[in-house]
Amino acid sequence: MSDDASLMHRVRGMWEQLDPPPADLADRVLFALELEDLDTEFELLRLTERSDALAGTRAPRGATSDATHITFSGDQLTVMLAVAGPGNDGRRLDGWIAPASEARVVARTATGERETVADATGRFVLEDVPPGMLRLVFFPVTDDGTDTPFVTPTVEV
Amino acid sequence: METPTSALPAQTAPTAPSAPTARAAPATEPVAGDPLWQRAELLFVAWRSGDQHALDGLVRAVTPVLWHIVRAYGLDRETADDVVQTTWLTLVRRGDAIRDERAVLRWLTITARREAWRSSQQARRATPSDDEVLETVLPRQVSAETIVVRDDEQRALWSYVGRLSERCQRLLRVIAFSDRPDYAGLAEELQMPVGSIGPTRGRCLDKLRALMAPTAAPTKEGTS
Repeated sequence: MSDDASLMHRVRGMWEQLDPPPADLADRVLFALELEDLDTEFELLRLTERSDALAGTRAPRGATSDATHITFSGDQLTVMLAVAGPGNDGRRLDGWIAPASEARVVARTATGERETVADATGRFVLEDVPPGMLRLVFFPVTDDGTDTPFVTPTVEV
Repeated sequence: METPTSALPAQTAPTAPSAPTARAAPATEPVAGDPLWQRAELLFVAWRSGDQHALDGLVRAVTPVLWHIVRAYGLDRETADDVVQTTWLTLVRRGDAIRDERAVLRWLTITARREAWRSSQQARRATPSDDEVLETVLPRQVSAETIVVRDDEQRALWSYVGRLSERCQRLLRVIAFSDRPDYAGLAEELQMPVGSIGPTRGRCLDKLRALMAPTAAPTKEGTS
């Protein structure tokens, strides 16, 4: 019925206006897809938790409440990430892979890559990461080098 | 930021046999008589034949629809964002399995729904925060340009829709942003026969109309 059709049309318009996708979602998707040019297979982690630092709050230097905490989970492991650094300054990323394992850690941002290693406790630090889109790729360090790399979805930090 | 210059289907899909007409509109603009599934098909075909630009057009054209479908599952914006990204990654990884290119849009929406469903089940186990509860009542992140003349009307409609059952809300939103070929998938998921999707949608719309109509209220407004 055209009555139904026109109401559907209105409801669709309402959702489009009041709950639109983030303006940069397609850009971020394309950014993420670029990573697919790596010819290895890798496991995609899921973003399972995120708590943003409250804007405008001042916490003592080094206090964890000043940071955004993000958790990524896969079937085998979890990566916890604390992102600190206000405004447009470079971000400091403190990460922890659990269960602890050594890995090469590559941070992909809109302006390039940063690399570090996670030590045997699974901890890693990246400093001066430009704010914006971020994606982390982990290459586990194993004896035979056969472990599947894993990758986070793109997040905004 | 947005580059709507990319990927006119007519240019990027020279090999598509069933596309006789040239299209003058950018792929991101809905055009009457040029349904999204068809544009998605053309872009997908072009991408498969090596045109990287076509993937750009495909992502820009279909992402908004995936967003709305995913949001139909009551996911918060952060999670919905993640689900949409995962959906596209899945296409790039497993898109080889799509035999019928006409079905690419349906494949994408079904993949997005499965992922959204899985995420919503995970989220359900956690207690919703105050933020999430609030979010179902008030649309968040309303961008400046959307606050225009029709704002009040839209907000009223939003609150009426919010009073419908979860099932109705999901059904309406998924249908509103899906092409007709998607009915079968939706039926499968809601565990109802394809034939009853239409009537159910009708009942949901009737309920919505009832909410919208200021019925003969016992107070001063004696409307007819």
